[in-house]
Amino acid sequence: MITEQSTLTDVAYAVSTALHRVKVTSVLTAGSAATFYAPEAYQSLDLDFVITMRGEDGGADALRALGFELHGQFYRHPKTRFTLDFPRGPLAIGDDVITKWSTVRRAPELLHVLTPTDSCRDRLASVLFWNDFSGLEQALAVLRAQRRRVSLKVISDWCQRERQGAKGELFLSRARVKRGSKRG
Amino acid sequence: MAQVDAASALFGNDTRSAVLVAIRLLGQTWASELALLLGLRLFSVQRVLAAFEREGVIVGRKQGRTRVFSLNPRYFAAKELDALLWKLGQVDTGLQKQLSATRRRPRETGKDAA
Repeated sequence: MITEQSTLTDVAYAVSTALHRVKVTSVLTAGSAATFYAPEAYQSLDLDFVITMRGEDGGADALRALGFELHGQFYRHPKTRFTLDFPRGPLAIGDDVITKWSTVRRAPELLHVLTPTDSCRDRLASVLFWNDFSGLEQALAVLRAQRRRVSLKVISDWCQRERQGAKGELFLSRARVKRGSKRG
Repeated sequence: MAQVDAASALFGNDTRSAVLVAIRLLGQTWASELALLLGLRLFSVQRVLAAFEREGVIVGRKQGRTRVFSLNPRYFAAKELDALLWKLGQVDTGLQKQLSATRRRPRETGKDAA
């Protein structure tokens, strides 16, 4: 149940589970995925879910049963400030279409969410394509929170494929310094 | 104020250096954004921008009511300056953090600011 005390993570689990039960697969992405991984460092107020598999009614009834109502193109709930958005797919980061994600469980709930590596790439995309340095700090926050689960090689290769190696190096050089200082 | 220690002597003073490195990192920017991000007075930033524009290092063009500045690709040493400024920006994590204070990526119409 969603209450005024629900965190973004609580809402994410509730929505993902409700949709899963009606055979709708929705993956938490964008800033909300970064908040899921690094809640102390970055707080998003909207949850972005990309639908990768749609059930018969698209999950609208399930969302209504949770207490969400559609206002314009966003879902709002009377007891939480967090809003829901379902941006048009496909689930992609730059030119890469994402076909694998993390499925985490908090019995009896489950949540589909970008992997930590892809969440870093997703935040980093803001720097690569918009020169938005808030994305750089968010990517570093996810890295710090999920250090063992982030592949710098995957991120480096992706930056090269996007022909943005120099901007990728802004992230990678700071990521390597942190890793180096940990070992030292 | 940003660090830009390595650049402070190169470009005359801290403010000039911070403004130039920030323009390189941001690609395009305007006076009030730079003043906000760098913690400088608007007048100081406008004066620095006007000087760089006179020197041919940057160019400005109108977008609506805002004058947007970027490095001048026709500056005689544009390529070399670009590489130097990028390198200075890359090592200045303090400046990178300052530049993260505002969101520059698009936001869908109707979404609340977060």
